[in-house]
Amino acid sequence: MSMYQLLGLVLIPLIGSIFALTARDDKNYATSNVYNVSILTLLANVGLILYIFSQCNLHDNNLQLVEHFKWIDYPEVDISLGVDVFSLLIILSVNLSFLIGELCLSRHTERSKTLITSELLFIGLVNGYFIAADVLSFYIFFVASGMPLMILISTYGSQRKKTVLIRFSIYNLIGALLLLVAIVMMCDSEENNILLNEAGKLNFKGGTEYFVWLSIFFAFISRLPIWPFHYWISSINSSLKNPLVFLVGNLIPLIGLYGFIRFWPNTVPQSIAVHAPIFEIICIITMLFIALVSLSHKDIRYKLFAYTTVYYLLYLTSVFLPTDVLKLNIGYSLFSYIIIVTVLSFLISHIEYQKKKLGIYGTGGILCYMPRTSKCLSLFILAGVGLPVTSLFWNNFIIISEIFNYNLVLGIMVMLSIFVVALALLEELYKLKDKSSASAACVLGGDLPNLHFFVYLSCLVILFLSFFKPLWFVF
Amino acid sequence: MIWEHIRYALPEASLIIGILHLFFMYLLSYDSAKIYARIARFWLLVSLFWAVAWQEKSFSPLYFTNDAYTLLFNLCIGFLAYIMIGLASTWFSTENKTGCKYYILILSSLIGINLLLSSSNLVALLFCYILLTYTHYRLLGISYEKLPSEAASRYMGVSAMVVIIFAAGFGYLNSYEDGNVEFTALRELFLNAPQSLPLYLSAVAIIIPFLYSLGLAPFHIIAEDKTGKGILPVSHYFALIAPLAFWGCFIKLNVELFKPLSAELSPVYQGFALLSVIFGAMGANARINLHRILSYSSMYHFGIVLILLSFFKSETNFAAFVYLFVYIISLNGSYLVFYSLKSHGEYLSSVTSLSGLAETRAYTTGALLVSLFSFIGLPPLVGFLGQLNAVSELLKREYYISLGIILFFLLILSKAYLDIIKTAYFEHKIKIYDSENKSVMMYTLFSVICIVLIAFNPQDLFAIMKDMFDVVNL
Repeated sequence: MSMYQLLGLVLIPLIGSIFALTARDDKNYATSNVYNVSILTLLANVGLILYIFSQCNLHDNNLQLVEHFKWIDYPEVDISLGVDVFSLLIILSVNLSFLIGELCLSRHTERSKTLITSELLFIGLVNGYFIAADVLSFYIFFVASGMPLMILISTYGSQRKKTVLIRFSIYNLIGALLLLVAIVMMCDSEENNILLNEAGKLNFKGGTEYFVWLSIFFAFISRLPIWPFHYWISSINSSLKNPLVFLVGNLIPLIGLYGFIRFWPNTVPQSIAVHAPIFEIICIITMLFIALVSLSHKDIRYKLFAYTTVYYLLYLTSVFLPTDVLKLNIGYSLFSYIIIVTVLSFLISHIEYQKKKLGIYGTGGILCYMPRTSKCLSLFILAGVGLPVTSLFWNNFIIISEIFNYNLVLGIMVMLSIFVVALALLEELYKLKDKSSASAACVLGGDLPNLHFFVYLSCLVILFLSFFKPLWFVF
Repeated sequence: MIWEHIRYALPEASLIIGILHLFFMYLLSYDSAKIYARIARFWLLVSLFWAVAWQEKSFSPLYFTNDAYTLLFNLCIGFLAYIMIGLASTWFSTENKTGCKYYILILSSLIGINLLLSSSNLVALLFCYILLTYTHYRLLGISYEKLPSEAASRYMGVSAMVVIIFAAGFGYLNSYEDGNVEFTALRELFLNAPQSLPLYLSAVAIIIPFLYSLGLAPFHIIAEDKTGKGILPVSHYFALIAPLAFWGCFIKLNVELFKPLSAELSPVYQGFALLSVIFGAMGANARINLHRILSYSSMYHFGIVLILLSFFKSETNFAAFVYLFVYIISLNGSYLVFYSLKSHGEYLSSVTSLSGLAETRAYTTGALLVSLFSFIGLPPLVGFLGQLNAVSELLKREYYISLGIILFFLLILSKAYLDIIKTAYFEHKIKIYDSENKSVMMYTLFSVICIVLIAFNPQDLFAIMKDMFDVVNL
């Protein structure tokens, strides 16, 4: 039993968000106060995560440091929190990526208080989701994490997307309600809340079993850009210009993916597991579809979105494989992947900002005048598409081998999607570096500031070390 | 002996003194709304103090019985009324009115509510119902030349018919029992007497006025007018306090009087409940006035309360109470936001008036968002507790179709809430809002804290409430 360390992961950002919310409404000081609060909060959280890591047994795959709390008596519900190496890795990468975001975010963003408060609220709730050890707290954090998301998308999203946002919210709400019904059915069968790893042991018969599990999976799918519902999430995500909000949007699929990872391997009953090929086919169709669309799309942000989606679906496909040995590989790979996507998102925002500032029509060749940005973008795009410098390379190699082992056609389709999406990103990189299409004669002073450059280089060092030893930061 | 009776009447007597005090101040021509509000609040607190002190005593045990259950509802209502009266003073100040009539009517209504909740005899119940109906009619009549008073006339017309139905039910039971119309005697009658249609109809005649007062379908003829056409403080009263009082009495009636008829009444309740759920969700989407949207939203949520009551079990009754409690807390949050929606001294109530609210009023919009999310039942807000209880009880009883209908129409209702959010966040600003009143902001903040924090550690609060609530189940 740990002493409220896990609860701290939820409470520290929530307290930070209250501080940010109550910051003085003074144009000169409030913005900087709010940013400082968020950076300190995230630093404290990262420190706590590293401390929790040091207390964990890295060879134990079960939930550790479990904390129990009594919640309500009528009906009787107890809440449990717990972590394993996989969930801690995800939490660390998410918190680190927001820290990177805070350090590299422009301080002239509109409505900073709303942005930072919602962001910290989101981090607290998403941390709660990753450490939830029972089905009810899992549900609570799953749904709750959608609220700050809604505020952020509503505040920073495109006005043209308002109808899409409503459809997306209702679609998510359907998932949430189905999950609620499934989870209450699970809890009612045991007359109390049940732990996540015990969910598969429940004895449901026939139709009820199908209803419960399909409801759970639908809820997770509602957070993933899966065909034929991929349009809403892609439309919203690609319209988000603020990199921090884009980062939040980019973590929506992670929530769905994490749900599948928690419920599918070992937990799901055999009668449901036999239907895994259906999910695999849907994943592959979506991967291919989005990868091909990204090739024809001109917006680099959409290409980044396509890249993230294809990789999320790669991880999801590996979750459906009839093996549970890939969980840690997915964790290691996700750790690098989330950081890479964060940095790419901020670099793209920097380029877009400079383009807007200088009044340039196109971004072709712009990197020729921004050497630091050019180096960072090239390195991170190459790392993202498989340059052997991060843990993404090794672990994706293992994951894809397992997919090939399982089914050759599936493996080929996955490879094809990854290839196409990599091509789309590299093509964009080429355009940005191509001096012949440069529309800006001279972009002076538009390069990355020292702090940002240093942060991105530090990220590269972190990723490089993870290539040799994924858990190098644990002592 | 007489002194004892007088002593136990102090909760009601305090309110009567409050009314006299207000009237006296009016005669002295005081013209500050805040003074009248302070007086009304003071006597309300005195009344609550005596209600706690004499919680199990009644000035007339033959007609009225007080216990922990009545105290629970009295405290909830008193707490809400205290906030409402405070906010009403800001409304009346803005309109340059004293609001004396309003405060007198609110205190009169609270007397009626106190008595209604503690009624243990059908005569007393009928009397209190008529008293409340009349005060409600007068409340609806407060128009200050801005709103038509046809709503009040229409209300009186329909209410008169409902009272006649109530009186007919009472008359039949009275003649059947030779004047002994205490709840315990009537319960014995329903339990032991051979089943007959007139007896059943007389029970229905007592139930209908409550369904009507709660605005449940298909008796919702006037429900929309009550919250949609009155001035804001009146609308606030009809949205929160009146339903809470009627639910308190209705739950008590179900447990103490109609339980022997549960087999016959259960399907009727379920039919009305599902109808309310459907009408509520559809109606909310068809309205553009915020008060009316919330009126239909209440119909939906009250439908769920009714379906939980239809099981006539102590645990579902408590689940219904929890649902009602959390809904009222969330609804209070929305109404507090309405007091902030003011442009050029005029209070706004249409959805379009929220356009671009988030641009200038981030906190107010946030508070509105929190209460709307709580209506949907999103965790970790207090509304989730009610939803969890309701879903759990319906699943335990294998009411899958009813649950499916409730959840489906929740999605439709959510569309109405999302439209409000969309307007506040996405639309361009079209109004210049007046500066916010500090007391309104404080109440709004307090309400948001309640909506958020109760869900975090509800067990102590709910344990106390369950102990108080279960008195009626014993």
